[in-house]
Amino acid sequence: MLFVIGALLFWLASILHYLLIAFEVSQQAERRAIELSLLTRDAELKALRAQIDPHFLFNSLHSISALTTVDPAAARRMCLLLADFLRETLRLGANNRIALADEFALADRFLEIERVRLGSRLQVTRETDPQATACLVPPLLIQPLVENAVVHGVSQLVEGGTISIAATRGGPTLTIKVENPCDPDRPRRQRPGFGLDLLRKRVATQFGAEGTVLVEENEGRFRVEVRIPAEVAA
Amino acid sequence: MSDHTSPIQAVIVDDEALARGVMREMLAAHTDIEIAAECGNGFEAVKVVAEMRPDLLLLDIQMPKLDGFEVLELIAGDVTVIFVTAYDQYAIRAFEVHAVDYLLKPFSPERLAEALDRRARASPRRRRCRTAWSWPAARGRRRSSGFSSAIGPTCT
Repeated sequence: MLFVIGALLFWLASILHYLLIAFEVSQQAERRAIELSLLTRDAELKALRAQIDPHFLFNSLHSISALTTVDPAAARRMCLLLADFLRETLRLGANNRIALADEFALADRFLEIERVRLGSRLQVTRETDPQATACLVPPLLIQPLVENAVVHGVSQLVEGGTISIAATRGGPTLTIKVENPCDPDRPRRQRPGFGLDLLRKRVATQFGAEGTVLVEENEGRFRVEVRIPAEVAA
Repeated sequence: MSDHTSPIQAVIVDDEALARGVMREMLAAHTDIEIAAECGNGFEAVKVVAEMRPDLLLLDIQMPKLDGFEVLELIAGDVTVIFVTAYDQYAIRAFEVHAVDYLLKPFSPERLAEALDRRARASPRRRRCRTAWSWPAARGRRRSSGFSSAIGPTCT
């Protein structure tokens, strides 16, 4: 009898022990999953925040400072453009997916601001088909490409140049191209690095093997092509 | 300690017309300074400095072809430099090439006045002393004295 009670107690204690271990393991796994998702979101947020280049802001403010006396109306317009751009960047950044059309509208605002600074040195052409602009993309995917095209491309050329933006949809694939002239002799540090790395990482984490980022520079032309699965709103 | 008989010859170097404009406008308040030229890129700046031998260079850093530091490497002689840029990360390098000041865009007229004041204290009538003050000697002296202290030869 005593033996049976003892065995039973031992058995209960063992079960309790293993249950506790299992519970702890599952809790740990859960915690790790939460931590991981927080980390990912944190990284994404940091990435989005880092995409507003502080020098872009400082240069824009300097332009406003210059315009206040010579052309107050233009100074005000610039303030509004800048406010619009910042608000849209934050708003779009909070979404998981946005329409490519929205992304392009943001790029337009950015380019309009840079146009105030660079004048006729900055020209833009765009070829988009409506099927492509209706597609959904992760927010601020294209914006860094457009910024690179200005900062590392056109603004580094005395005579400036034209940035070509194109988006096409071929079956299940959405292709976005940003091309700009660049100075082939420019120093290393003026080459885009961080922005493109970030884009590659985002495309890889979000689309895996289905997403590709092609970067090439050839005889003073810098070209980036992003291919991702064409998603449309349900 | 500016020269009252002949104005200080300044050259504005910036690839943005608006930035050159605001500098021109703010400099108008300084009657002892005359804008000798405005340059839209580094090449022009090197050419203009060689031809005009200005006293003061208000120099942007990020420019097409030649950046502000490359311009300084290519010009010989003893022009005083004030860097004007939106980038704060070049401040240490600017100190190394002996700029008298480093203005961050956007800047106030007061901050520009302070930089010009610093220039005046740093190089009293320096342009008259080319033979008396060679560039390597100036480098040595400036390295030890820092941004704000009065440096340079005391000839008149």
